[in-house]
Amino acid sequence: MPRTQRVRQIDRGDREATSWLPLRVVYPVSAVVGNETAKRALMLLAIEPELRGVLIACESGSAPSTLARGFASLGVNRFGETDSTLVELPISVTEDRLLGGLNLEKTLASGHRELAMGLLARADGGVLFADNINLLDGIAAMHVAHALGSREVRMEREGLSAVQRADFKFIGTYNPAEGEVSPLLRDSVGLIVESSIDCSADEKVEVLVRAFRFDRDPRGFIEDFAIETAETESAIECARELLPRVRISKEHRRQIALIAMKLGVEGNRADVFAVRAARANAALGSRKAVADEDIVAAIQLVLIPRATTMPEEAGNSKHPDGQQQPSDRDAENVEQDLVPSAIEDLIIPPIDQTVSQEMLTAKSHITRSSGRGKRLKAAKSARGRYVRSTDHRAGDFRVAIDSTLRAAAPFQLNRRARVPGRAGVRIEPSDLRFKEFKHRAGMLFIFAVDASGSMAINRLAQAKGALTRLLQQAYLHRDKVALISFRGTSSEVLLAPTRSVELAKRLVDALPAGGGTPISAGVIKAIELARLARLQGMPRAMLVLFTDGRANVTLNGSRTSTDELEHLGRLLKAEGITPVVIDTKSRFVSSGEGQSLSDMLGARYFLLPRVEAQGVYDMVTRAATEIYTSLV
Amino acid sequence: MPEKSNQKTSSRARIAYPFTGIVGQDEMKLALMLSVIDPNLGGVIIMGHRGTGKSTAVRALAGLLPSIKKVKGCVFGCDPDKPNELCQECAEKLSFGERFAIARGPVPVVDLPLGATEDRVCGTLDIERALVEGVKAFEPGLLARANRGFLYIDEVNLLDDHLVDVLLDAAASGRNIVEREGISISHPARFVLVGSGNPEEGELRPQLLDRFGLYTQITTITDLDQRVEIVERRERFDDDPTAFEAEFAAAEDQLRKQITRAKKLLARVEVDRRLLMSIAELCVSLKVDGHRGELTIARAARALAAFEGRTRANAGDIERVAVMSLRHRLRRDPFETVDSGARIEQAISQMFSQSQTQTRLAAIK
Repeated sequence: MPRTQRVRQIDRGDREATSWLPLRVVYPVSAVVGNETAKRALMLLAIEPELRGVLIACESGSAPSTLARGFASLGVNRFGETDSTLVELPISVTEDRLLGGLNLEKTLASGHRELAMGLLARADGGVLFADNINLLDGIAAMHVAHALGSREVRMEREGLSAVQRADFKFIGTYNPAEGEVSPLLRDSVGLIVESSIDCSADEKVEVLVRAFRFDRDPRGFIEDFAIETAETESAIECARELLPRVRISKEHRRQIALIAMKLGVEGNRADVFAVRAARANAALGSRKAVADEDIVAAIQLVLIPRATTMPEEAGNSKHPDGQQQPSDRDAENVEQDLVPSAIEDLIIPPIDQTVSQEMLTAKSHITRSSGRGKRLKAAKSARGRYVRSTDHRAGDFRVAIDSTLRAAAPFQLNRRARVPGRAGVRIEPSDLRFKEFKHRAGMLFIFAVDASGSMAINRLAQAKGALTRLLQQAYLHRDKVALISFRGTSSEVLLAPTRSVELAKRLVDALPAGGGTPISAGVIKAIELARLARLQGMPRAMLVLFTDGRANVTLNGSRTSTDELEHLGRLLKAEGITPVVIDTKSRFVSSGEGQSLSDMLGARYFLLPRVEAQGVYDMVTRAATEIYTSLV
Repeated sequence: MPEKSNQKTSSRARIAYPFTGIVGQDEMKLALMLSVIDPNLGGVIIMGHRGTGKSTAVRALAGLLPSIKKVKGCVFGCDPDKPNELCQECAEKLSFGERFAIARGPVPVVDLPLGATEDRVCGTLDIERALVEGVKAFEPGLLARANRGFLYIDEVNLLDDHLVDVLLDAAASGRNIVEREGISISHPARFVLVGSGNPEEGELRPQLLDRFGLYTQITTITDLDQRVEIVERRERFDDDPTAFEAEFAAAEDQLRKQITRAKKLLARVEVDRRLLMSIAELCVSLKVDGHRGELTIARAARALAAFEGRTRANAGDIERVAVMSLRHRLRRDPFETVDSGARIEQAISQMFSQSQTQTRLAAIK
């Protein structure tokens, strides 16, 4: 039996020149204008590697992204080789590139299995950096998260069994407008910088000036900032030395745990990170004991980004079930005894500062599951996951080395005897085996509920029932559902695309109703969701629109709703979204508005005046089946 | 098998966080203990929030398992005392009247990492031997390695469907049948399945869910002192694992002995007819399909009694194991908002309060 091997790669020759960049000229960190929070987070990570990683919300190509790259390569000048490894993670990375697999050339040459290292193992001892990690495939994000947690990569692939060391720090940036980061990955890094605040006009000018200078003469620019860079590095170095001696009082520990609880932070990992962040922050400030300001920094960078509830909410009616409230109140009482009000004053303001209304609603986005499709059974393509090998060559094929070798192996002695002399493994065309890939091809069902009329609550309940039913079938299909509502002039995502029954059950049962019927706004929101889902590998979406009225609010006052809806209909078609309109108006009141709406959108039309969840579910699955049969 | 690879191997195995060092999460710990004591329980699935110690607990398990007798040199680690569960090679030896050389070894705890390919799970043709010697030899996979031990799947709800199929087949028959690449072999693959995951990541296939004996739900601890304690211990462990391990060595040793005693005692623990009746009643009142529910409760109650050194299971044992035995076996109603755990507890309390009044009435008479 092949013993699992612990591998620590030392051979640099195996690494590809493109994925580690010690020689590339990087914009110096010390020259980045503003972005103090992101800078602080990165410095804390440099001081305390146990914080594991930093996530920074920003637009790609903006300062934080530059900063992250700069920081990732900070050690280069100073700490020599060991610290300098910077592995860049392309978001389109495939599973075998990430984890490693058989090294074709070496295996063929020697006849022994040789391991090709994956990106995760290559980053060992250094930094793994990725831009736009929210677009990373769910499975890939999970592998990164696991490596961060266990500091190793377990691989059982292509006839190889190995445990490779993968102790790296992770720096990732993401653009929140393009979707959330995989919750697993969020959970496994210590520090999250959620707000990169826009800088002032003066600062913007300074950014441009420096950028020009850097473009014109990078070497000179780096020289100009050499002193600042050296200062940053020595600050980090001093803090590293101080860190083991930094103490944290029991009282401060309790405060961290308490705030974590009040914010509804899941799991205990965040508490551990928060304590470490507080100590690193103290070390950075040359303090031997953690002070209140360090706790504040830890709360800001570790706990608030993981909040699921806000302390202010505890008293009011956000929780529909009454059971929640007493325990919240208990926590509050406990808290009054524990935290001296002076410290509370210190702690609460940063919470207020960072927590916008947006963040509160954004918390319902903790979803995004990852899975592969089964609906289109093992869709043949070179994307997705290598699951097994076949001897059929289909379309965009890739050779499965392990199986090919196995196929060729038994004939080696014969072949060598036949044509002696040549070394290595003799492979003939008939030996070739090809990788069979499977990728998720599930469907996203977007339920858009009209919350304008008086029957809004009923429609919401029906939609909720139908989508829960769909989810319970999701283990068969690997589909996802999402729910949005629209009223007044805007539309809101109540449930971001998910596969989790748990999350769907937690959906609010009531929502504010009344106002105009902005169907366009709802459709636009659905298109946005579908686009994001497609980026993450879900190519098909269905929009199920529940309404009893006519569109009477347009996105733009100068257009008629007919024009707008017809345009949206074309857009839906172009985006590959199948629309379905469910008219909830009773037959004798209906004047054909629902029918004409669905004509404009190019949708299927169903009149369901007495909608029941089961009816909607049957209808939706029937329509979905039709779509699939038309596809195959 | 000799190691042929020239890869650098590091001997430094990571020290696992000790089981007895885990703060709180009693239900999860109990479920794991029960499935160690009685491997026939069908294993455990642990579902809950991230960062609550699920995989820490499973990885700590290895340190608690008493060593077992194995046929020396057998890749499947066959049990010399169980002639019915031998692999082909050992069975042949036995039929020729050979005596087994016996070795003691650890109970395997095998990780099934996500991204594993089917050939590594089932096993397949050994390439190297085929290339060099021209022999068609079987190279055992993870299922072979896990024989008589534990197979751990983290993020079990994200496992590929085709691997789930393989697992279901092996778990149902206790054997792994390989027919691929010119290899045709069947070998024993009896393992205890342990899975963990976060329900928010997706649903588990019902057939797989049903395979697990016990289902424990784990949530974030809300006790302030415990939370502080968790952080302190974790820091101490990360900073100096060896010292931390030493600190808990005595507790680990004691628990290990308790498990060994319980495993020996298990066969002698009795569950009397009256208790069996109440177990059946409980399952009927909760409309549990099939018989796996009753069987699991009875077995778990027996293991619990053995764990506590008793030779007779009692009503208290049933109360303590019923929720984890049934949580995943209730019919699920999409509109049901009550947690299934709460429903089971309610049913138990109703039943036992009834039976208590009955016994009291009987006593009065």
